[in-house]
Amino acid sequence: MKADKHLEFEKITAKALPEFEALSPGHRACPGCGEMLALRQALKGLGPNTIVVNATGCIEVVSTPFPQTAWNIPWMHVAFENASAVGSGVEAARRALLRKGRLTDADTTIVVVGGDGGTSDIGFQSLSGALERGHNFIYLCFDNEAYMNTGVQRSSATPEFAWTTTCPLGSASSGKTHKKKDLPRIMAAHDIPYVATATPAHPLDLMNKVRKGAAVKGPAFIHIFSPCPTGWRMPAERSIEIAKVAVKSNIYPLYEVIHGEYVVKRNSKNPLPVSEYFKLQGRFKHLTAQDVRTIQDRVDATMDRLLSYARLSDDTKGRP
Amino acid sequence: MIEIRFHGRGGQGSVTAAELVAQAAINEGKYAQAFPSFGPERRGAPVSAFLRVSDSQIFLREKIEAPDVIVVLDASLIELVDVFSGLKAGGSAVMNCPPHKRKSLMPWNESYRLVTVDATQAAMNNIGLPIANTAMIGALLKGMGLIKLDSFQMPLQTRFGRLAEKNFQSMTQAFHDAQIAEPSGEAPLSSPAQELDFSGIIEKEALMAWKSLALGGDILEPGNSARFLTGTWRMTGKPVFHSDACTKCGLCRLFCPEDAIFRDADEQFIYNEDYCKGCGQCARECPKGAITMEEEAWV
Ligand SMILES: Cc1ncc(C[n+]2csc(CCOP(=O)(O)OP(=O)(O)O)c2C)c(N)n1
Ligand code: SF4
Ligand code: SF4
Ligand code: SF4
Ligand SMILES: [Mg+2]
Repeated sequence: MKADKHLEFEKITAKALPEFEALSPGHRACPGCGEMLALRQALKGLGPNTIVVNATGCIEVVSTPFPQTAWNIPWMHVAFENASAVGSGVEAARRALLRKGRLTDADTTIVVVGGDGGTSDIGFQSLSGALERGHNFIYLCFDNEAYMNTGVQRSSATPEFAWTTTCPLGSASSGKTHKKKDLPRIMAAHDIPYVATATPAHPLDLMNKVRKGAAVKGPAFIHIFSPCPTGWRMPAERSIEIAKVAVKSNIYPLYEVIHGEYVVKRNSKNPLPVSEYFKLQGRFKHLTAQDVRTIQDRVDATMDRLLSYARLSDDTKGRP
Repeated sequence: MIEIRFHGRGGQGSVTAAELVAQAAINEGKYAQAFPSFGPERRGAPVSAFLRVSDSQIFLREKIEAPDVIVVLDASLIELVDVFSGLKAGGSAVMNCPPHKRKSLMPWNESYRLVTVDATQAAMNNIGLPIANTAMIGALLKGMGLIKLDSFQMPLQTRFGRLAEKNFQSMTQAFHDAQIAEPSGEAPLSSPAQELDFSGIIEKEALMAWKSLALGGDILEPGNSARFLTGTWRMTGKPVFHSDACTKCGLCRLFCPEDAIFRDADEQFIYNEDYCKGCGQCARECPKGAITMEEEAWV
C-alpha cells in the first residue's frame, strides 16, 4: 500500500506570505542569530492558533528576560527533561476538554521547542515516549550543534572535529572526537507520520514543512539547522549563507519522511565540496586535509543512503 | 576605596577587564572585587561591570551607582547609555576614543577629568584585533595610578596564555598614549547628560517592575519585549535601502531575525532603527544588492 505523500495542507507561497508574527522584536538574541530567525519563520508558518512549550536554551532565555517576553502566543517554559511530557499533557488535556465540550476549537497546534542539547541529550527520553504514545504535536528541534546558551559546550549533535569549549584545541584535543547523532533518523524510527529537515535559508520550504507537521494527525518532528554566529565563530551576516552552503554541500540534506517514506531534495550532480562549508567557520579552522576527507566520505555515504531510501519509497519525482 | 564602573558592549571584554584589574590588585596585597551586571544580553548589547579596589576589606556587594571612575570601552555608547550617571564630582572618565573624536568629549571635561586614548588602535597595533579591553586598563592605570603595570603580567598570563604578551604590549602602549585633561571646573556640576534624553533609546516605556507581576509569575502582556530597543546594539552599521534597485521581493524581511524590516507608507522596504541590531544579513542576502550597510553617525 502506498502512503500518501501529498499531505493535505494549505501551502504558503512567496506571493502570499503571512503577515503574522508570533514574536515581537526586542528579544536579546545575538545579532544574526539563525536560531531565532528559524523560529520566527516556523511560527509565521503556523499562525496565531498555536501553543508553545519551550525547553530551556537560547530561545527561552533571549525571548523571555522575565518579566518581559517576545511571545505573542501562549508560551510555557519548562525544564529540559520534560518539555515533551508537558507538550503531551497540554495535548491530552485539550483532548479531554474538547470531549467534554468545554473547548470547541479543535484546530490549535501544539508545538514543543527545544535546542539540540535539550532534544538529543537531556529531553530525549520524554520526547521518545511522547512520540511512541502518538501525541498530536509538532516537535521543533533547533539544532545549533552545541549548548550555546551556557557558552558553547558540546552536545551529541555537535559534529565531529568541531571546536567547542568542552572539546578545545591543543596538544591533547583537536575538537570533538565523536560523530554527530543523527536525530531525524532516530525520530523516523519511531514510525511517526511526519519527519523533516529544514533551514532558515529556505524559508518557504521551512514554513510549509511546519504546516505539514501541523496538518498530520499524530506527532511530527522537524529538525531545523540553526546557524549560530557566536558559537560557530563566524560573522553575524553569514547565517543564511552558511545554511545554503550546508545544503549545497550535502552536509545538511533536506528531506522528509512521510508515513515512513523518504522524499529527498536532490542537489545538482555536483554538490559543493564540504571544505566550502568548513572554511566559513572558525570552529573548523583547525581541520586537517585528512579530517576533511573523512567528513566528505561520510557525507557522500549518507547522501547515497538517503537516496536509496527514497528509491525504496519508489518515488523521487513526486515531491509535493 | 575606589569604585570603578566599566561600560562596554557584549563581547568587548568589559567584565574581563574588571576582573584582570581586581586580580592584579589582589596580587599587590590589596582587596578587590569585580562583577558584571547580569542579563541575557548578547553581543553588541550595552553592558556594564563593576570594580572595587581598597586597602581594607570590602563589605559592599551592590552595583556601583556613584563611581569615582568610569571606563568606557566603546565611545558610541555615550549617546545610548547614561555612562556618566552618578559619576562623582571631579571624577574621572576613561574613554576609548579616536583622536578626531576627542573634541566631541570636551563638554564633559567641565565637570570631569577626562582620560582619553585610542585603545582600539592600540589593540590593532599589538594584538591585531579590535579588542580594546586590555588597552583600556593601560589608560586607567595612567589616569589613576592605581596599580603597577607590571602587576598585570601574571593575571594576563593566566587569562590569555600565549596571547598574554601581546595584550601586555597593547596595555603598555595605551598607558603611554593616554592623555589626561583635568576638569576645567568653570561650569557647575550639571552634566551634559542632563541635556541628552536617554529615555527613548533603551526603553520606550518603563520596564515592568516585579511587584506588579501576576501570581505564578505569569506574563500577561504579550510581546512586551518590544519596549526594549535593541537598536542600541548596532556596532558597525545600519542597513540603507536603495528603492530604485529593490524589486519588493520581500526576502530581506524573511531573513531578518528581529522582524526589523517593514514597508513604509509608500510601500518601500525600510528598516526599523529601534530594533535592527545591524547584523548585515539583509544586505548580504538581497538578490538585487539593494541594501548596503553604512556607518552610523555616532558621536
Ligand atoms: C537539567 C539542566 N541542565 C543544565 C542546564 C543549564 N542550561 C541552560 S540552557 C543550556 C544549553 C541548552 O543547549 P541547547 O538545548 O542546545 O539550546 P541552545 O542554547 O543551544 O539553543 C544549559 C546546559 C539546565 N537549565 N537544566
Ligand atoms: S548564542 Fe547562538 S543561538 Fe544563542 S542567541 Fe547567540 S547566535 Fe543565537
Ligand atoms: S531583498 Fe532586496 S530586492 Fe527584495 S525586497 Fe528586500 S531590498 Fe528589495
Ligand atoms: S541588519 Fe538587516 S537583517 Fe540585520 S537586524 Fe538589521 S534589518 Fe534585520
Ligand atoms: Mg544548541
